[in-house]
Amino acid sequence: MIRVTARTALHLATLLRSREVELEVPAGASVMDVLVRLADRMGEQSVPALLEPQSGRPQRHLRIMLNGRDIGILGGLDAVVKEGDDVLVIPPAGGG
Amino acid sequence: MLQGGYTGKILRVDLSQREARTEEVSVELAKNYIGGAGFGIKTLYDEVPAGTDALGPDNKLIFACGPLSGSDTPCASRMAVTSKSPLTGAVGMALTGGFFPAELKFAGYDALIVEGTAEAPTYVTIDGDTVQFRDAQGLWGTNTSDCQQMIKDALKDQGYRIACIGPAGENLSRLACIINERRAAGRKGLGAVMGSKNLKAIAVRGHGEVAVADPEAYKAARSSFREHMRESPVLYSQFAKLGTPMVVDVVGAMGMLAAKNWRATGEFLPVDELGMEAGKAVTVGRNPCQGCPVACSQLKLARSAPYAGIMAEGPEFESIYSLGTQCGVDNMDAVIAADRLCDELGLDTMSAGVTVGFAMELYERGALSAVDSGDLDLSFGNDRAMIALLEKMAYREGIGDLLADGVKEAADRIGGDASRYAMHVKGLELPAYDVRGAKAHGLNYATSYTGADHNRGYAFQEIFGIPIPKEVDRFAVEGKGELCKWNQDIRTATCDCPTMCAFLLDMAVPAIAAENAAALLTSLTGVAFTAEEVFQVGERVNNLARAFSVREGFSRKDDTLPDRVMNEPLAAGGSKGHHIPQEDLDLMLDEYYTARGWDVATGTPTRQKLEELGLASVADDLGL
Repeated sequence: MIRVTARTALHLATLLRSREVELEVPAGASVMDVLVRLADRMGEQSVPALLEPQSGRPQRHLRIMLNGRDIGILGGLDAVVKEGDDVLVIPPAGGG
Repeated sequence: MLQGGYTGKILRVDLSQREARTEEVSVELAKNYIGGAGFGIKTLYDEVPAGTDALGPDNKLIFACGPLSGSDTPCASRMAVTSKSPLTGAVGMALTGGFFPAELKFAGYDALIVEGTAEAPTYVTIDGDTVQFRDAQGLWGTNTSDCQQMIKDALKDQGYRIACIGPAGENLSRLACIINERRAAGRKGLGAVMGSKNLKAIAVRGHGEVAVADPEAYKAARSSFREHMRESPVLYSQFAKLGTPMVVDVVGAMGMLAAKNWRATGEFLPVDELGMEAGKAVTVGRNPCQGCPVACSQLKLARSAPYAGIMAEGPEFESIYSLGTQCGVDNMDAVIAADRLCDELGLDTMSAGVTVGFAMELYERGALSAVDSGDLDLSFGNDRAMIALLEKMAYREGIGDLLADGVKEAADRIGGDASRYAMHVKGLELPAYDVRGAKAHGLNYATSYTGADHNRGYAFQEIFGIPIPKEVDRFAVEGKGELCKWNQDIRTATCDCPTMCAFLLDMAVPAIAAENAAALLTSLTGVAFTAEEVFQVGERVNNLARAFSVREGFSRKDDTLPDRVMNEPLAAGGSKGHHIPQEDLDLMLDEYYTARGWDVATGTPTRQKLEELGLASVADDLGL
């Protein structure tokens, strides 16, 4: 197993009751695997805020970053995480 | 012919001669510059020659609406205020919302050009065709709330909309802003220009309306725009409830919320104290701009001593940074109080707060002593000292006089290595986004015609992950030159000129911004715009503004970033390890000038580019 940090913001952090949690995933796990572990931590009632109930995939418009970079440029949800990696999930935001 | 949108008239007010006259808006001006910032910068370039004293009678102050302002297109009561900036020496252009912009249109004017200097404190009233110069001796010294109310009472008409300055503008602080209602044309010291003209306020009252050239087509364009607003995953569902303070949480999570004069970004991160939840807890109401269904502007009430009972419209995200994290302050009530104080004094919350943070670092380093500070303990986090210092800056009392003109001027006067800690570009203090974690946004700070201005080329791709025109790596430098140009031109073309609230660009229509603007403008005004033509207006205005800077002596050497951004990698947080060293900045600048068709060695627009934009006479001016 390896340890990664999963972080969230805004209402996802409210549902998680924290902006940051440490998670254990198997070596070779992907960003998607991390999101599933994160959903477990959020609790049953809150899972739909993170994952679409029908598909189990992340809700549209969530921004997902691995070590600060958007996963779209890193191979998407299949991108493999390493020990100590940082996965950040941010709900759609704007302004400022 | 202009059939709608525009009133077709520009009001020119000469304070020296106490005369007012009107001029017509030509179709050519409309087509090439649209309005707003376009009208302002075109007027400034044509009428304010190189070397003009920004605080002298020959500088001009241009209040220009776009054709959408005052129409029933949502979120369009906006106005660009343009002048030669006393803070930067380049174009000073700041946008404001509220009700004044629409009222100026209802009074019959697309723009108001103020020139000359009044002999004694004056305010100008505009009621349709009637323009009057009135004695402002009794208003001089008042804060911006009292000033506005006293004018309404004196005119026996509460319907007037007023733009005014506070004590900071009267005292020629180069951090002074212009306040209308509780909104601000905040940055670049435009309030000092108004003060230098002895102009305390402009009160406007209108009884007309904005005509529509093609009602059917306009209705369709407006409906389409509203549909995009409704479909946004953010605009109504999140932003309307949370406002700009939500960005504290987002940018904080990305390790880009600048703190303690940019020395503690990622380390000092008081999201619990200043973020979304803290903001919700103190929000007591809304105060939307004219015609805005989103109503992002929040009224916040402080509840703890010694600030209990103070209410502000805001603080917005940028002020939470400048009067909060930048100064090491994690007390929301103190930020509310400081925000309200700045509005009353007529101080730009952003530049003023950054300047206080700069003074705090120098104090900590021993470059400012207790004697210098007038016995204020300027340690980071001392909110009471911050508030006391803001007041001193507006009145130029003691150390306030040293700091009243911003960090660049203060650093020059203090000497030593103070300039290392002066967080500015071209004299304009840095906004909240620590651009060591967003390189296109950093390039925009370096190249914006107004100095370090997040609003001129906001990199929403990096900050909010919106993949338009494409998804980017926020830490990468390659490709950022072209992206920065696109961000600057689309913003100018679709927000700053038409005029439209910039929040709609990234939250509602990022993929179709130019098409949306073209459809609205064409149907509203009767002047045919294609999306390509709209976008090119953005490019034209950015080139003309650059030409103004070149004429004033600016070049590539001025397109730079503070020492700390270039040489100190972030020590903590979500952007840890990143910075923008000189070689990265050079690479981005080379790309940027190339994308712009400018000379790479000097950053000067080329004759070829200027001719392509119909600016051959500008090439002649520059001796190209």
